[in-house]
Amino acid sequence: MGLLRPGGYLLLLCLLQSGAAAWLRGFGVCPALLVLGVCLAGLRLGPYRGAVFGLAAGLCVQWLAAGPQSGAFFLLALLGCAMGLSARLWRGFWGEWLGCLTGLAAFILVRWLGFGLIGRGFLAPLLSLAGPELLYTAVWFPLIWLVGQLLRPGRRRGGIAGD
Amino acid sequence: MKRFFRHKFIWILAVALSLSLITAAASLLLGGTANPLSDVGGTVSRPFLRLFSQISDKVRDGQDYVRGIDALRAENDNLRTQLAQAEQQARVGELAASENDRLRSLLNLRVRGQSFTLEPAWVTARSADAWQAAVTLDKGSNQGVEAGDCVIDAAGALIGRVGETGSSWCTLRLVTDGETRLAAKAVQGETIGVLAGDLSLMAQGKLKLDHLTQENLPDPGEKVVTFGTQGQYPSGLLVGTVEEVRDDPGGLTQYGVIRPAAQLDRLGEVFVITGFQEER
Repeated sequence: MGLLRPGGYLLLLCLLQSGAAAWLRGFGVCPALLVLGVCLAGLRLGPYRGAVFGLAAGLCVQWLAAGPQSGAFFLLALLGCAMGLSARLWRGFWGEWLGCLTGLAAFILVRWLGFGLIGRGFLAPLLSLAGPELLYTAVWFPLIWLVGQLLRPGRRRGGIAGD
Repeated sequence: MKRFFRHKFIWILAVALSLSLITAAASLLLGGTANPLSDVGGTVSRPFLRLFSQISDKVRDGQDYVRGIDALRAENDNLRTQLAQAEQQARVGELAASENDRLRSLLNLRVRGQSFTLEPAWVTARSADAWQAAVTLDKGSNQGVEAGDCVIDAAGALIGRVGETGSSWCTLRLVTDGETRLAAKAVQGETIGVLAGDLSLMAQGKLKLDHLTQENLPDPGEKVVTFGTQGQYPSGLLVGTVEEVRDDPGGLTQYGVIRPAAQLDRLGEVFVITGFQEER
């Protein structure tokens, strides 16, 4: 797979995150579509490409300024890589959904701990932000899955092998 | 160990970690000024973000138009009543102002006032991060905008403070953001407290008036304004209204839940206070 398909997928993710996510607000939170997209990319591209994709997503977030998780290059790259390493566990639509949810939960958990450690509270943000963000973002997985079809290798044209 | 470093993704993770550390260090060292990477990115992406923002606004306006005719009629009736009450209050206020002028002249006091230098700006992007309440504006350090400047709406209500500035853009942290810390007072009872963003209230679009004591609690419905004492931000900017007073989890103090006066989910043109003078 060349750069075109992952690049197009990343572009669409950035458009969704910066253009649409703010308007898809529900339960007081915006869906973390980009993070979900990085998880799916990791599952489909493997650890190396998943890490590169996560790093590129981090750079795009930085460039979009005031976007989510500004400066989170490492977390996103780590997430892409980890999802790639665990790809065998998550097969099929429901498996990928569960895998992406696990990755998203880990990402949110790290952020929640980070905010808690700098004195922004633990229990209240867990109930009012972390929980709703995880559940509400999970609802949008089918959209990301559809966009993620860009990452599937195209079917080869021509006759059956061996013809 | 050699086998470990043979994985290519380790090197990518190392690059990502370095970039994260460099960005964090740059943010600390530059103190409110965007790092060069963000600055270039923000400048390049600004026209596109503005375009998205305008398209989104048009779509939302269309939806509101279709949905809101009945609601607009009810709001119109409500506003007529409020206007009549406001006119009545204005007449009382005029009498009080003239009396105030007369008494000041008797006591030989100078008139207290404020003057602002305003820089109009447009919201180009809204943050889609659940953990922060921020928007991007299309004005930056080239237009004299600095980190910490207050931003108000057309009605003069405080929207937030500038967080990070690029050359032609800046990040505006809304008053509901977790990083908000401002001195404020309730207008009627003169209760003084600290306006503080709170992650759990942020999701509801509200913030706290913190560190209140049992002896001097504000009443629900009281207006809250900024109380700048060090000249870092202007005094008297309307922040919002006290909705209720709750006990702090520690039980020693209370805090007021404040509903912002500015409509933070419907921001368009805003005004950055790039300079101000206050006479006391």
